[in-house]
Amino acid sequence: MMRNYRMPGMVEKPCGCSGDNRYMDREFVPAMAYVPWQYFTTVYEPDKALEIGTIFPELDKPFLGRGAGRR
Amino acid sequence: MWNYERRLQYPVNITRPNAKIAKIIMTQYGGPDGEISASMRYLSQRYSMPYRKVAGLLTDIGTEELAHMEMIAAIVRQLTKGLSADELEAAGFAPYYVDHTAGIWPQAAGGIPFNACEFQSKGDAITDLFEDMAAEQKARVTYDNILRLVKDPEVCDPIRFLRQREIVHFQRFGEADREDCSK
Amino acid sequence: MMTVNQMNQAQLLHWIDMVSFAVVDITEYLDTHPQDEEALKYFDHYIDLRRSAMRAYADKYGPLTIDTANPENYWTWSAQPLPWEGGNC
Repeated sequence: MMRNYRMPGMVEKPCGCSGDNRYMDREFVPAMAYVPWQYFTTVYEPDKALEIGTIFPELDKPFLGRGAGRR
Repeated sequence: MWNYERRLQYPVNITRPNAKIAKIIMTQYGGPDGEISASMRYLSQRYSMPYRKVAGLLTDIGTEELAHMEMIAAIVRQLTKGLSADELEAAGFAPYYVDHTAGIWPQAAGGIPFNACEFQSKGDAITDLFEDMAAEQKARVTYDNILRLVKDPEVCDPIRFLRQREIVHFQRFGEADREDCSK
Repeated sequence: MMTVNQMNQAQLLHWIDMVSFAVVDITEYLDTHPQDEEALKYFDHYIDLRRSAMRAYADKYGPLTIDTANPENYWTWSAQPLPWEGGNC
């Protein structure tokens, strides 16, 4: 016989679907993936930005493997 | 549609030809995770993208990838220009040379020609954006591998630039996916 | 800082590369942050610098875009060096 298993915090919604209200106020839900937002704060000077490949210091993630060094 | 500028996005000035390196770099022209693949992927996906801002982003990044395709071709051209058949053969370049001389033709380093099986345009907004994020990571790793194999600073300089662009694009596709989810 | 009129060809091309790259990176940022006021100001600043630089380059050395082409008695557009030759690199 089928039973509706109810986790703590689960509510019966009027539509009949069981909603898990642990997620109701949250921006992030299961079965999805998220990248954090990046915001414009400081930027590199244009000559340095061109050399590096971005104006945004927080996106500057150089290759640090063996033998690699920035000029 | 496109206008173009008669300059590379980032300069390429290679003074020492080297066909061995050219064979490796060429993979970012016609390989599965290369710039043509990236460009065709994004420019193909934009038509079915239901969110205009995301279609706009796909067009902007897809266009930038065309500029990167051009940089890779310039690198390969400068690495092979002027070499004799003997020099190319000594560098292991003979199989490419016999079919293309020192011309530029899109194939992976292992020889597989560029083909549409190397990208997907699934017609689903979320799926296409995750495809794009994966593509940017694959391209970034390919550039990491190139930097492990190639030590010539004239080559590594534009390669490092291209690698950094992949990281930025990953972030933008990730943000576009959030925009999408929040609608 | 030099003005665009004081720069030689290589310096002006490098300047164009720099300000154009700033425009590209901020454009992609604005695509996902369309209301970011700081970013909008940054775009306005660099797009202006780019326009003047492209005009100055076209006037002195030949057009980099069809929109800055202004042929007088000879079609120079397709005769310009191509950037992988080393001419514009």
